[in-house]
Amino acid sequence: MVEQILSYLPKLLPYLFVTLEYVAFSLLFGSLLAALLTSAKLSRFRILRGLAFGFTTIMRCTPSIILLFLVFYGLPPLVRGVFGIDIEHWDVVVFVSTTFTLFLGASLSELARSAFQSVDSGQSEAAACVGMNRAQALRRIIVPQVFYLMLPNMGNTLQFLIKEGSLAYMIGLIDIMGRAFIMNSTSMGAHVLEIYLALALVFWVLSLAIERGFSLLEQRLQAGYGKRGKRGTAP
Amino acid sequence: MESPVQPTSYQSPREKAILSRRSFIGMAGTAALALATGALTGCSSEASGASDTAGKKITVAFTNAGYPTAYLDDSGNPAGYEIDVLKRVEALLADYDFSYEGVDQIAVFAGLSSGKYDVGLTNSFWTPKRAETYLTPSQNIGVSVLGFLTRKEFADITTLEQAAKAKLRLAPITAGDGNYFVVEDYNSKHPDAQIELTATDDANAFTEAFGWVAEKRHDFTLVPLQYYDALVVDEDGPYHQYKDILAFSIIGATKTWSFLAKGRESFEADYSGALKQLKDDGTLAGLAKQWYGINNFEYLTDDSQNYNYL
Repeated sequence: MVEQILSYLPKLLPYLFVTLEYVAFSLLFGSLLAALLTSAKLSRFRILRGLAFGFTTIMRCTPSIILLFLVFYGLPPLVRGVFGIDIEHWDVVVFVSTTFTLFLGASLSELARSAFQSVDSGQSEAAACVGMNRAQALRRIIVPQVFYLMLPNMGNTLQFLIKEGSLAYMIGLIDIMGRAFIMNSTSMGAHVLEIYLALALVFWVLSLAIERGFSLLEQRLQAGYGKRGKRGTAP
Repeated sequence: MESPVQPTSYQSPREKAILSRRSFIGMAGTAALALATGALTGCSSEASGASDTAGKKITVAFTNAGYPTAYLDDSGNPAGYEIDVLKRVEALLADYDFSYEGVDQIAVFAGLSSGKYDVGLTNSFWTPKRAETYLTPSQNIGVSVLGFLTRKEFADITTLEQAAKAKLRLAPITAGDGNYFVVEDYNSKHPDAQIELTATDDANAFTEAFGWVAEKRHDFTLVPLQYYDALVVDEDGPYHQYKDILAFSIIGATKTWSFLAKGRESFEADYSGALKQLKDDGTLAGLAKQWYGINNFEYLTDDSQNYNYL
């Protein structure tokens, strides 16, 4: 049994890159979207705030599989209608990344908003007192703390995203999860347990690595703030 | 002849074995799609009409884990019986250029409804609801063979009617499985020799039934030949230990269909013509033998019927 599990590993592993590909794209564009949304949510303009919060609510209320189908089937006709560009046959990873970008944008923007608001306003005032302008205060004082506060939740989000490949499989993205489904099919379901255990093995290692990576990052950032007295959150 | 009961959707047994919550959530996806197509692609019906005349490009969607009917092979290329049939069809239709997209079964149907795909390969049976929603070619693409799995003590039973009269207990069938419809169809035609039909939401019921029958919880179940080979005959098969207890025989066949998106009428004529030609010259039978190990078409005793069983 162990031999069989190990024999499936090399067949699954190359597809891990597909998983990492959509995760990387979604994280990159999702963070950019989140940055926009967060600044809209913290802005003085009521309309911007309304739009950003409205978008977040809609995204949170939509099950990911439905958003995936909406993007996959709905986006091409929409883009064709509005811009006249045919994206119908673009690589499926584009649609998967778009879907998770929308999701991540919404959820990360909430993480960032709450993190921003938990940084004491006295810090911005103190920064202003020593002559920093708004941009400098953000870059040097506020954002590093926000980032630190967001870290644990970011780790969770990343773990969640990596496992969403099983949904992306439905519209034809063959990542490591999808490969496992297909291998089950070609073996007529005769080795389901072995294949899934091999898959679990990959995810365990990956999850441990992510967890470790985030806790190292957290320790580093904490060291930066912690040693010189807790400058981050309010005590 | 149709059964009075018309399930909205079901899969052929082979696909049903690709168990999962995916199909289940997929239904939700389809529901969303219905809204999406209404809201976002209000123009899709005209668009598909236009693509029928203008576009010679044909997008074929297939289930990517439907071995051996249609699936992605180890190097990620489309393969399987239905894929091979489509490649032969393409060779006959010089005017058309085919491209292939492997997705989940539910997404094949969703994409056919939205007009994203032209042809859908799902190893599906014909149902009235499907015929309403999609364009059905006049020629079926293949045949699914109905296997009867029981214990050696009942090995002389080779028809559903005999099984009913001997009061054999049928293992529960996953709701939505194509075999469910087969038994319903049988029951509607044999009011005096009914088979008790139990549905289950257990997606694994299809393969677990091998054990249930062997351990006498139930007396028989309906499975395709390849599954018997892979799970019982094969030495690595999970039910190989039951090989001296279980008995298998083929008791019937059902036509399987490819479906086209609405609005592809002119393509349908060419496509059905090509399929008919391939069936008549024996190409389909040869491909069936290659992929299923048997010529499925032989078991179709009455070509005018979708469902054939003894």
